[in-house]
This record gives sequence, structure tokens and C-alpha cells, in this order.
Amino acid sequence: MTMDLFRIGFLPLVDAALPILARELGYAEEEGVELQLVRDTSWATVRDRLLYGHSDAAHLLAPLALATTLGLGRPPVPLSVPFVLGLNGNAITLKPGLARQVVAEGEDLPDSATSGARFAALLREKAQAGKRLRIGVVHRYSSHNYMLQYWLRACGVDVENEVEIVTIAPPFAADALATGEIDGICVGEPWNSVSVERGVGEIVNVTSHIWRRGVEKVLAMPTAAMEAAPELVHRVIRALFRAGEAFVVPDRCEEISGILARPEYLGASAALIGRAVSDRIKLRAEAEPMHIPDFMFQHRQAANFPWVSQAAWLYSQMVRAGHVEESAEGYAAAQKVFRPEVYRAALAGRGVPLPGASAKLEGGIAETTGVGTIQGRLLLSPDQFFDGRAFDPDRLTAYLAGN
Amino acid sequence: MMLERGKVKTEPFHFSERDHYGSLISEEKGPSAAALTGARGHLYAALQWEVGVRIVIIDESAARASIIEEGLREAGLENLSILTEREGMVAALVALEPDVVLINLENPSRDALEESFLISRSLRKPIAMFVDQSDEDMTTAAIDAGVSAYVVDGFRKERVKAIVDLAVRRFQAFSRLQDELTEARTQLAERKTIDQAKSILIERRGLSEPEAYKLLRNHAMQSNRRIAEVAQALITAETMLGSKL
Repeated sequence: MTMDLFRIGFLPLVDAALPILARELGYAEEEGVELQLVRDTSWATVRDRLLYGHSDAAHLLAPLALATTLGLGRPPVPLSVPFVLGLNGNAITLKPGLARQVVAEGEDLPDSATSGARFAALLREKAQAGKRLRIGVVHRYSSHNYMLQYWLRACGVDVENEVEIVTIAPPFAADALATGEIDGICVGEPWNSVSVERGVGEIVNVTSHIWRRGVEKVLAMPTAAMEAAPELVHRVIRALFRAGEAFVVPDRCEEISGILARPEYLGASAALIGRAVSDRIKLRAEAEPMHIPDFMFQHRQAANFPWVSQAAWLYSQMVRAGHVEESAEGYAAAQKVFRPEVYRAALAGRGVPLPGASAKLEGGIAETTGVGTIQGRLLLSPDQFFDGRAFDPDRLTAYLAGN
Repeated sequence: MMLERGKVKTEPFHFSERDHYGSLISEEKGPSAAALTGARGHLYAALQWEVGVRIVIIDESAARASIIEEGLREAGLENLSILTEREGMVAALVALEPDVVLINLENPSRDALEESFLISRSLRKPIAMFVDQSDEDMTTAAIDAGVSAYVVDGFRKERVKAIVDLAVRRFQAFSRLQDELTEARTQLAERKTIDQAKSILIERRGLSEPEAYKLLRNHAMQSNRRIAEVAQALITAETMLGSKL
């Protein structure tokens, strides 16, 4: 069998797992795809390689796929997302002295409303003293930035004036906390755990507690390239889907962490990586790991399905952050980035659940609910935001107005 | 007409409007073309109006940054600064008010940099290198060479092209140097491996040095492998069989 070369750019993060496993567990090869992985340290580089043909697809921040399509900060290039690489998996880590004011000593992770109220008080006190806290996020157009801002705004923080949000690349999180360059960071794993282990940070919240089903990394491709090679794209999607099935098998945690830990992938400790893979997170250096259900949600319940309403929610947050001006054209273009029909075409006839709808009310599921499918059976468990608000993609303006 | 910094737009270009770079460069006062002749004269001629342009080179490899700096200086560009440290880079950049930022593609600070371009009130807004149709080739060449550039709004693309072209060449020259260095190191290591394998053959089979080498070479030819590979295999076997090596 001749193998088709397919290159995926990635950053060293646990949520790059599915492309890495698709290669290492042989699923890509079984689909006749020679999967090559191209590692970088900044999203700008991952994006440039994708746009200039050094890679065929990228492990990318979902909002960055939207920003690239919309032409924010650079000329627009339409990208498409046929597959979501996972939900959540990020945490907010503060310097130990500050963290104790949000999570008391010996306390388990409080709910987001409780920790948020304490964090808001801390931010206000510092801002009033003229010493605004500086919190890192991994990119301007990142779910980290939007989830952090969502949490803070919902807890009454004046994000524009009471906190300074800056960009720090994930591998530098621990260093930046240690040197005092930042006071806290919202970053993906294993970089929170690395900070905890070094004693330079303590985890005060996780993004899955802000939005139980927050869209995180996606597989992004230039739309033109994706549409020019549908058959190859389908094979890549099937390989990634099988990698997702492997990722959620509890018995395989050690094996998977070991693969991700290799120098050519994350180049970090397998034990630390295993915490995220198993949803067992250590909040402080001296604490025992605690089980946080759905900390990372990489595959179950059609987590890899690109719901158009997820792209719509991200757009709403880009508007709220002042990154884009609300417009009907922009909103339509942003939603078009997510391509559920490509996902369905790739997995048709394989018995896996394929939702019939392409959009849903985000955050609207309070109890496990069956949803309509064109194939397989699908139950979705609660997907709520911590403040109980739901997002209806057909009512963007009302949502932004707070109604 | 005087134009203030930060207000230059992409209107038709006149040399008389170029004095917003601080050091006044007019058509008459530019470096003489005679000083810029030679094999690279054409490129230098394109650069002669840019001597006042403020360029910041950002690279975590100080060696590569110097090679680029040297190339730009040779071309008559004087207003150059180099930043190599990640921490404090954004603040340093804001203070320098560059017209053009050259940065290695793989620099881990690029996300922070792009963010600062978008939010800084004091920094004029540099944008990513031109990516419209006319400059697709230049951008691709730069990305292939590993260079990324940011250019302030209003800085004409033909003028940027000359600077980026030069940076691309210096990047390529640096890569070649690195490749040569790696190759030299590999050759040295291989020679050591072959010497060691020869010693094994001399000792175990009582061969002379030329005979040992000939045996390795013949074996390599027969098995369609490189001599160093055969030598390495022999050393491995010898080690595993528990020799005194």
C-alpha cells in the first residue's frame, strides 16, 4: 500500500494527544497515512507553517482558527475545522501566596462562583493599590483568554481595568511564575502541573469548572486544501477518532503518558502528563492528586464533533473581549469554520454516533439527555456554564446584552 | 510635507516625504550608488533609501542575530538593534519604536510579540509581512528560510522586500554554516568509529590496518551500507559478545 504523507503541526501540550497517538498507535498507518508531526513553541509559528505549506493541518487553538479566517491582525485565510481534538484540560494557576487567598489551605477546589468571588476581591484590592495583577494566557485568541475573562466578568471583575492579561507561551509558564514576570496563568497541561511540582504555582480553578464542555484545540486546515483532498482528510479523521477511543481507556493511561512524554513530543515527565490524562490533578506541591471528573474531555459523547454552536460561542467572546466588532458577516464566517458535514462523511457507516443537528444550545443540558442522531446512539451529560447561562447561537445579540 | 511617525499611509511614494525616519534621507543625500556597486549592487541600490530605517532583530540565537546584523550593516543600514532575551522583550521593543522587526520563525516569543503589536498604544502597529499575491514568493521564501518579519503600516512593500531578501540570505548562510559544522562533526565521529572497528579486526583476526579497512569496505559494498554503519555494527557485536573493549 502506498502511504500518503500528512503533516500536522503541534505545540507540546497534553491535548496534542490524538494526532500523536494516531501515529504512534498505528491508526494513521492503517488508514494508509504517513503522519508526520511538526513541533513548534509558538502558535504564530504553527499558524505560519500551516498557511505556507510546511504542514497540512495543525493542532490549533479553536479561536485562532476563527481569527485567522476573519483576518484579525493579518490578512484573512479561510480555515476549516473538521474535527475537535478535545474539550477543556486547562487550569488557572497562581503564585502560592496569592493562591491561598482564593483557595484556603487544606480546602478542596471550591466551585467557580466561590473561588471567583475571592479572586475578584483580590484583583480589586491590588488594582486599587495600583498594583494590578498580571495574568498570563497562552494567546490573545485562545479559549484560555476567553474562559478566564468569562469567569472574571461573571464574578464582577472589570477585566479592562482591574487585571492585566498578557501572553506567555505554555512552556515558559513555570519560569514566568518563578521570576515574578506574571502572578498567575491560564494554561494547558502539563504546564500547570510543572509549576505546581516546582512549587512556583498552585491551581485555583480548572476550565471545566467554568464551562463543563468548553471547546479547546481543533484540527485546522486551510479550507481550499481540505476541500481539494476529501478522501485523505476522511482517513486522517478516522485515525484521530480511533486515537480518541484509545485515549479514554483508563488502563492505557500509563502507556499513553509514556508516549506523550517522549522528547520529540512533549519532552516532559510522564508522571506529570498522566495527571491530566487520568483527570487526577494535584493542586499544590504537598497535596494528593484529586479526581476532577471531565478535567479533559477528549472523546466521549461525540466530543470530537465540531458543533457550529461552539464556534458561535467563541465568536461571542471575541466580541465581548473587543477583539472583533459584531457583524452578521463575521458571525456567519466564524460559524462556517466548523465543518460537521466533513466529520459525518468521514465516519459514516462506522457505527459511531453522528449527531443529526449541527448546532445546539450550549450550556443548556442540566441532566443527561439523548440527542437525535443519523447514526448510533448519543447521550449528552450536563454541559453547563458555572453561572447557569446558556448560549443560543440564534440569539447572539441578546446573549451579549446579557438577556 | 512633513509626516508624523505613525501617520504614514500607503499613499503614492515620494522621496521628499521620507524625512519621518529622523535622519533625513532625500534622493540627493542618499549614499552614492558608486559606493554600492559590485555583485550585490542591485540589492544595495534598493536599500540605499533605507539607511535611516529602524530595524530590530529578535533571535534567541545571538550568533545568528549577529550574522544578520552584519549583513544589514554591510548594506549600509545603521539603525539596528538586537534582542535575544524573552523576558522584557516587549518593553524593549516598545522603547525602540522599530519600523521593521525581523524575527526567527521559531522564536517562542512570537505570540507575545503579535499581541503587543495589537494592543500597544505607544507602538505603531506593525503587521505580519505582506501576504498578498504580489509578495507570496517573498513570504514563502522567508518562511522557508525561517524568517518572519513585521512591518509598520505605511512602510512600502518594495522597500521591505530588499531588507527581507537580505535577511533571508543571511539566514540561509547561517543554516549552511550549521549544516557544514554538523557534517564536520559527523565525519569526525564516523572516523573514530571506523578506527575502533579496525582495531577490533587487527586484534581479533591479526590483520594489518589496510587489510582491516579493506574488509570493512568490502563488507559495506556487499551489504549496500556505509562503512561507518558496518563499523558500528561490528563494535556493537563486539560489545555484546563481552569483549574487553
